[in-house]
Amino acid sequence: MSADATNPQELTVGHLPEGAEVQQNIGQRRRTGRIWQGIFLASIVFSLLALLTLILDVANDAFGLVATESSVDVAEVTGGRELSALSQAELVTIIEANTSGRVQARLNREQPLAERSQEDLVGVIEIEVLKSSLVGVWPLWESLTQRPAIEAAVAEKNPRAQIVWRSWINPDFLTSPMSSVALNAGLRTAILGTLWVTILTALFAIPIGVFAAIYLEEYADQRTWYNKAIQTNINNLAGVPSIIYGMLGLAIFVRVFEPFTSGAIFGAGSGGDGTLNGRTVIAAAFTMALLILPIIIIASQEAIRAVPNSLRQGSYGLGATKWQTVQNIVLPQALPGILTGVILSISRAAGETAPLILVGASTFIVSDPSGPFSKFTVVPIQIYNWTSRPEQEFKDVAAAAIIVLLVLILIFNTSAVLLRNYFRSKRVSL
Amino acid sequence: MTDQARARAEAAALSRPAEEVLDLRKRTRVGESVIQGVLFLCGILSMFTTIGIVWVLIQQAWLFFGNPEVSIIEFLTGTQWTPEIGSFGAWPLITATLMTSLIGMLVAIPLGLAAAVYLSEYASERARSIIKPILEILAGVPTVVYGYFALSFITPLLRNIFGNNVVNIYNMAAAGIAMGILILPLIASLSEDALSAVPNSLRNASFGLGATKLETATRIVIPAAASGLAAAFIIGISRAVGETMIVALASGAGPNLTANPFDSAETITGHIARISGGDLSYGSIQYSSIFALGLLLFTITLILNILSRRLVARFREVYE
Amino acid sequence: MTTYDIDPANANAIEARDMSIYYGTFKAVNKVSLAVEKNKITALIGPSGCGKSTVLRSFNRMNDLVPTARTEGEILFRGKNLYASDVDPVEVRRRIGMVFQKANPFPKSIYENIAYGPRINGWKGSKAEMDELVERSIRGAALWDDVKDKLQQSGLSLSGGQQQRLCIARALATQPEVILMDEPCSALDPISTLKIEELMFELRQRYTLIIVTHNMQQAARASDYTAFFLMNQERAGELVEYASTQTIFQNPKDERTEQYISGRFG
Repeated sequence: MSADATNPQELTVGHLPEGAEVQQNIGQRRRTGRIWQGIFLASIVFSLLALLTLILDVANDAFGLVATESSVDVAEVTGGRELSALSQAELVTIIEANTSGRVQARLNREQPLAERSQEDLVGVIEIEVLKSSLVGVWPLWESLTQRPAIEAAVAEKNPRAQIVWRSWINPDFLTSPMSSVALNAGLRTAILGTLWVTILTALFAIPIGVFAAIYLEEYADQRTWYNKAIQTNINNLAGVPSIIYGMLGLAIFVRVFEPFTSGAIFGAGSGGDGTLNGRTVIAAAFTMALLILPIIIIASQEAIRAVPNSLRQGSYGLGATKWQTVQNIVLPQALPGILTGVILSISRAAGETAPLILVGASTFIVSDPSGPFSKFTVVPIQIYNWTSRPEQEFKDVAAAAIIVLLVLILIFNTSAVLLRNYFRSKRVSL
Repeated sequence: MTDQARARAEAAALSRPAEEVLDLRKRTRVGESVIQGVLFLCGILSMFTTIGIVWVLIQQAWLFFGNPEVSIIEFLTGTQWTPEIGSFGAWPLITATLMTSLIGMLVAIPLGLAAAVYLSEYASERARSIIKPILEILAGVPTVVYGYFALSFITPLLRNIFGNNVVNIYNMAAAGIAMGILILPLIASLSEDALSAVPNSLRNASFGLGATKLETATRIVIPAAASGLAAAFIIGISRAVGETMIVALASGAGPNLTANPFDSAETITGHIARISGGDLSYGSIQYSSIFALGLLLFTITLILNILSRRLVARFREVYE
Repeated sequence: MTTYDIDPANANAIEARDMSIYYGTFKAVNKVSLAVEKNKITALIGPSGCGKSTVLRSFNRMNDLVPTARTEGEILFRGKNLYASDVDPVEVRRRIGMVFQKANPFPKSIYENIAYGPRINGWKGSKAEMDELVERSIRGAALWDDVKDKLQQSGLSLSGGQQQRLCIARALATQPEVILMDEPCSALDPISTLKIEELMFELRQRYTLIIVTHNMQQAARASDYTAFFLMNQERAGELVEYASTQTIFQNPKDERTEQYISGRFG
């Protein structure tokens, strides 16, 4: 670092900071570092905010004020008494007296009047007899903060309307079947459909997936071309979009296998609305099983691979066969990891929509699925249908359904994470 | 008896009499063979899935392109998709797919990478144990919920900001943003894996030369993890391209060739979902058209996934 | 070239004849011939990488677990060649037990660790008989007093030295004739090591022991016979000298042995 002899101020070669420059340089670098650290942290905060916003948005739509108006006066129908004071039998009588045979037939098809709850029957009367209709729907935030303004607006436009606080998610919602009227819409059919499809999917996918993983990790000679092909194939399948699986399901399970999936070869009856085809629970379950199979296989493979080899050696050294070693030593050790992967896959299957659209989840179905050969709908499909409708009240119903779905997924995922953490703390480290 | 003597006696009692005949012949273990067969079948099943997908897609696409109304050239280059009048140019669908995926990646990649950098280079163990589960929750939200979110929150927000006449009720931007939020955790997690795989010795060398954390992270770690990161981004793109529900709900219900993100347009996946949700008669040209689109989609995502895995393999070679 | 002076009156428990072991095309062990005497402790020593463990593992066909491994030559056990084509390795391992370098008890209870071997080999009997077998095995490993009150506790709850004795007890439970030990004390402290060496002297009464050890002092004090291995030019392990321990350490016939013993190389 020589300065020119004639001009000590000019430096002819580069130099590192010295003296006061050092402080300045470091200070600036640290400042920049802190700013960017803040930016990195901000992106994580953004994710949290996004999650929070989503939850609040759903909640905003799931609760709020509604204004309903009836064209027929309550007193006329009940002789002055409150609807809520009437018994079920009396309510059924009112319905039968005040509605056409066609309406009653439809109601009975959805669910026999005699079996309905009191609240349900009140709801039916409000809609079918009193011709109650929604004239206004408000989200939660607005309902809380602008009540007076809402009441004023309603008083002006629909003076006969009543304003009531409504939670779109309520026990009736969970137990009623579908309806074309938002106030009556229920999730029961979809919840049962989800249960049926998910359980059947699990039954198909879990044993096959775990066995395939055992084969690949313990039995297969990984150097042969065919075993490498199987492994590559599984990795590829895990990345295929879910809608493609739906197309596979449509073409094969719904169409080619129709005699089987419709239940015709077993002599099953119709799906409830007169037609018999392959768009059934079991076709959906096959499709979803194929979808989650690669995920289960890969997760199980990782869990099996994580079992220390010394344990296997100890077992073989005692004269155990391969299956004895797998069954008694490897699987028990790998079980927590396998279980976590399985639970997460099932959770994924419960939330999938696109493949089921293709496989033919019914858009409007009122009878509960009664077996693997029934027509069906699932919760995510209902959310899709309701969200697609332009009316705000259907968006609110969708929000209620979303809450149900999110709770379900949350239960699945939380148990998977807890399981993983619990077993991680008890891991054998050899 | 002393311990030793007792041990001796026990050992004596245990050992085998030497005159016993030694039979070491292979036993036919039927159980083992059966089990091995069953396991092998399960392994093979995945091949059937792939064969099934390829067969189904190609067979129907063959029918589709065999139809006199349709030509492959038009499919790949045509700009109008109106099945009613026999126009089957896929470009409007392709551009919509590209646009929504692009917007999604513009959201997911910077944010995901930033989150990954924070998690891998800055965060304490405790912070990581809190943040990672939250990201996992975000990733676990079903896509249909994100579609709802796009429609009921993001679109009104965009309309508020940019004006009702600029932003359509159904628009690609809202769908893209929601997709970005959906994919963000995936990119964050995969990127974090890539960054963590960079050996600590590199970081230590950088610190030893007097570098700050930021300088180490941006000039040493990220470049070292480059192919792993690229692989992560490509997986994200693949995910975005194949995503259906968000675009089906929020992006629009009709093919539209446009470069304006605030316009409504239908993507490949959205179109397939809409058409098959309605009445679809088997054997109609509409039916086979969705399989042709499916084949296109499958090919794109397959190429992306293979590319991504090659990158990961190359990345691993360097560090293991 | 090997030189050994085995007492001809004593039968061989197990013998390797012209055994070579390959991993793929790489020859790891070259033409080893070694006759191990019954009821004696034979130590295999030599610098790292010279194939001692590979030779040891060939005695109970554990090398079979490596997909690319191939063995030429014979291993004779009670008159039968263990590598004959009709021999089942699973059967072999029941009778020739193994203890590994790092103790590897199963994540099961102490009782179950011991019972595992007999059970998978088709042991039949009542619970009382199994209890007895377990107790005898544990006593045989000089571990009974330590664990008699906690048989249901996990095998992993024991100390390192106890775990290794548990592994020895586990091997005893299948009633083998030969016990192979691959550096059984390398992961243990000196006191545990001493206990295991004492145990080995006891076990010698009824079993034949072959141990691989890195520790020359251990070979000198704990074995009856010693086999010295070295890597040859092609990096394959060869048997250089095999004789009584006394001879090897005090009067080796091969110059290379003498150099190794005196620490010229390691």
